[in-house]
Order: sequence, then structure tokens, then C-alpha cells
Amino acid sequence: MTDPELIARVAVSDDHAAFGELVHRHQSAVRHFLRHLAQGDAALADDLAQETFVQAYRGLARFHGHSSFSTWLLGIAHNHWRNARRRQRTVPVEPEHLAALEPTPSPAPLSDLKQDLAQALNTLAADERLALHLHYQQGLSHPEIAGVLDCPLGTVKTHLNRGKEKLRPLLASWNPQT
Amino acid sequence: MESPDLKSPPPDDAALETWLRANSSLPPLPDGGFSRRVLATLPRPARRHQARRSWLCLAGVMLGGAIALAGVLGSGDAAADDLFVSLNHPLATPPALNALALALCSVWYAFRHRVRVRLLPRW
Repeated sequence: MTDPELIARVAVSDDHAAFGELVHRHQSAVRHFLRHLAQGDAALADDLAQETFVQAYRGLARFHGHSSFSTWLLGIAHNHWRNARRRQRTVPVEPEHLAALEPTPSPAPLSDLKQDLAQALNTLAADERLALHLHYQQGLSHPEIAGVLDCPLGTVKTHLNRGKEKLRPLLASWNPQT
Repeated sequence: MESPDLKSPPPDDAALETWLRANSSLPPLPDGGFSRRVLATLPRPARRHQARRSWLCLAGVMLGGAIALAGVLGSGDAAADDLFVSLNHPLATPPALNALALALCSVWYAFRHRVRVRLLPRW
């Protein structure tokens, strides 16, 4: 069953099983995104992800399919993150969180390549890192990123290009072509 | 406006682009009960329908009452005796009948799905 079919079932008959399937399909992307924003705080990210899905359920009537469902969810998640950051004023950033690009539940250490990529990304500004995460790790297009972050398309392109320019020398040893 | 250099990336940009795409992929996070926790926090569907039903019934009855009241008050002083009669036999007056019909319609509309589900299979 496709996402629009599941959404229709939820909207028409409050089908919790259908919504559960949507959560199951998109939880990884939303949690990865929020873990990135929370700089590795998995507990905070999962709490925000849960709130994101509950709000999506309540506001499903406002989803008109102009974007993909996952992009819409990421937009809600980003709003939740901004609100949480505003409430807390400061988000605790532990140095060990910055050492990893995307901490996963797996205890396996990052490969040298991933480690270098993570360290290189940590040298970027937050906006550049976020744009790169959404583009390369979440697979979003430039207009989709602009929609999620609620910023102009040109700003997204600037962040991506600046981020890549900064990464180029840092990753030169891994990619001889650059 | 975007600067021209943003639209035309440098020649080796494609190589970096390809490299980043190949090496930035994230492993999917295991659900680990996350979906179950989300579903447990969702409002119960029955409660949402029940709340909607309550509002529909309340609205219908209030509207019916308003129509009945308007009908009785609108009959004027000349119908003061009729008012006394209508209070003793409320169902005998047209406004009261209208109000009752409206209230019944609102109750039927509010519970129509439940009535259909419960009664139709028996027919």
C-alpha cells in the first residue's frame, strides 16, 4: 500500500494500523534528522520524533500532498526542534557527540572514512552541515530542503556550495579526483 | 538573486558530489518499539467520534430549542392562551414539532454510522 493510500485510510476512518505503518516507514528518516539536529542526543531526538508523529496525526487533514509525506514530516520535526531549542534556550552539546556524524545504536566503531567525513563535517557551520545532511544523507532535493527549513532556495544552494567547498580540501586524501 | 557561480559549479564538483552521495548514506534506524510508543500516545478514535457526536447532538438540540422558543414568542400577545396550551401540550404545536424533528435528525446524523453498522447486518 502506498503512502497516499495509507494517509487516506487514516483521514477517513482514523485507522491506527495504517498510521502505524506510516510511522514504521518514516521513523528512521525523522529520527536521523532529529539526532543530527540534537547533535547525537538520541533520547531528546526520539522524544521530539514522537511528538512529530503525534502532531502529524492530528494535522493530517492539512497535508495536501504538495510535497512528499516524508518531507512534510521533516518540516514538522524541524519546527519541533526549533520550539524545543527555544524552550530550553541551550541544548547541551557534549564533545563526544561532535565526534560522530550520525551516532547509531550499533556499538561498532566508525570506519576511517566515515570518521574523517564526520570530522570534516564538524568543521562546517551548522546551517551548512544541516543542508548537507538533508541533501546527501536524506536524499532531499534543493527545493525540498528549502521547504523543510523554511528558507529561500538560494540560501540552501549557498549553504550546500559553501559546505562542499570547505569539505573539498579536507577530504582530498579520500577522493583523488577532487 | 543567486550569484552565477552557484548555478555553474566548478568542474570537479561532480566528482565530490558523487563521492559524497556514495559515502554519506545512513543505515536505517531499527524501529525498536518506536512505532508502538507513538501509537500508544495517539488519541483514541472512538473518543474523537464520541466528542464529535456530542457536539452534533448538543448543536441540534440547542437549535431545535431556539426554533421552538422563537415560534412560541413570535406568536404574539394574542396567542397568550395558546402559549399556555402549548406549554401544557408542547408536542401539539408546530414549532415544538419542528424542534423535535430537528433534534431527532441531529441525533440520527450523529449516530448514523453506528446505527448502520449495528442494525444493517441484521436486516
